[in-house]
Amino acid sequence: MAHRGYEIVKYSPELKPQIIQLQTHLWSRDLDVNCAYFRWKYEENPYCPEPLVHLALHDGQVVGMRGMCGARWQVGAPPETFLAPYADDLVVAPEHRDRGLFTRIMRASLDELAGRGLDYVFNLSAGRVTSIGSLSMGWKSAGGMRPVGRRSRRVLMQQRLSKLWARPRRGPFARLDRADGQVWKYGRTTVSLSTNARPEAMEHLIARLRLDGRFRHVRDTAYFTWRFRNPFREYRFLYAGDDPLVGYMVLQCQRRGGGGEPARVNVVDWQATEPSIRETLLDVALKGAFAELVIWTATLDAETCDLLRRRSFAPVDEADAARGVPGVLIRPVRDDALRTEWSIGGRRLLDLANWDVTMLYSMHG
Amino acid sequence: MTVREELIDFIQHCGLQGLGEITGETALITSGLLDSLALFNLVTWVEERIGVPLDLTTLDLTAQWGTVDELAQFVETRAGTGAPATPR
Repeated sequence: MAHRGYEIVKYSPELKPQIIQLQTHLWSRDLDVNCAYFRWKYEENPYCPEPLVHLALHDGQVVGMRGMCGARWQVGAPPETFLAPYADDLVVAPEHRDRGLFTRIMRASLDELAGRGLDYVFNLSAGRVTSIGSLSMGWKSAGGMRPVGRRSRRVLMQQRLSKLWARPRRGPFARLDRADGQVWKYGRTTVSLSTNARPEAMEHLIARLRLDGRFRHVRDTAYFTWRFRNPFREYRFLYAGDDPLVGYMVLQCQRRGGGGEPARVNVVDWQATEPSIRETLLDVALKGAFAELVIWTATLDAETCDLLRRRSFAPVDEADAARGVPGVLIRPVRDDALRTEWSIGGRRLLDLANWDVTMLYSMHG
Repeated sequence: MTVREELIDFIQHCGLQGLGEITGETALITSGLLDSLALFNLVTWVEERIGVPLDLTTLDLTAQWGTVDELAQFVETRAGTGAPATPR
């Protein structure tokens, strides 16, 4: 039985206030932050400044949304780049669920992408519900991200107690921030902490790394400049070396009201010219004494995974991880490509060995 | 009660009435009428029947859960094996 009375439309600016209100079901209850998030993600996006957003209307009111965030990826060595939007922000107002709206909104989004000549769409942050809905529409998963974390029971307990005593909770970066301005020296490597990204220096480092041709997001100055402005997230940057950088690690936690685990800190990007520098960056990060430090390991090399094990990292979020969530979800834009081999640049998209995924590429980061 | 009958009973009692009269040939996934939440409930039901989490990275829902009969067969194949679906 088809549900009538719904209309699927493209985004237009006059609908933005309703979108911001609708997203109180998904993003946050704070309309100002929701507005800032929409602006950052869809209006300031360096790859697609025109919001790729489709909406379900009922009696002229916005009751459903699916967004496609612009994203540029690379594959091969030397790399070829391609646009593959990032599907996100699916929400249907509770009283309009179970009426096939997800399918209809997604269909409209895919049709628009096909009209723009795009081939694939990705999603790296779908939870269980969205993942299942996506699989029903022909998406497939290349694999789960296998998160591991290092937990400090002592710090977790302190945070819970301070909550009980109604003391203001210190942010996860409080301890690390006390070392702001300090330079750690490990042999010939110096590591410094900053609250600011260094987009050009980071791009320069990425350009010097020996790449293996796997799928990864393009990380250039434009991307780094935009990426860390996410109003729901807070970032710290550990830099190894100065000019040029020989490594960096980006740590992230949620701002209040931004969803997720409030005490959790994520390693969202971690790059270095040598393994010893990666190790140094991790050891400096651990000085932050975080209640929980988490990283995705599915596409890390064996040496780095071993380093994490030696530093007492162990699997976390095991219920979701057992189901491959979060994972790399992929779908060809056109239905006639569903039964073909999904590949770009001669590399199979559904083979996780062809991917190098950091949390930064996903909206978890 | 067979798995097929249990499945039909589940669909009829969990708010999936949009599918109309349920038979073995009723299209599930391809109907487009099941929202994510309805599918999530269906997946949870399947996990309870087979006794292990469903690894979504191994699923091709449109091919494996196309109809009520196909889904019932999926459950019967995996129930009691204690093993997740075969990795691709």
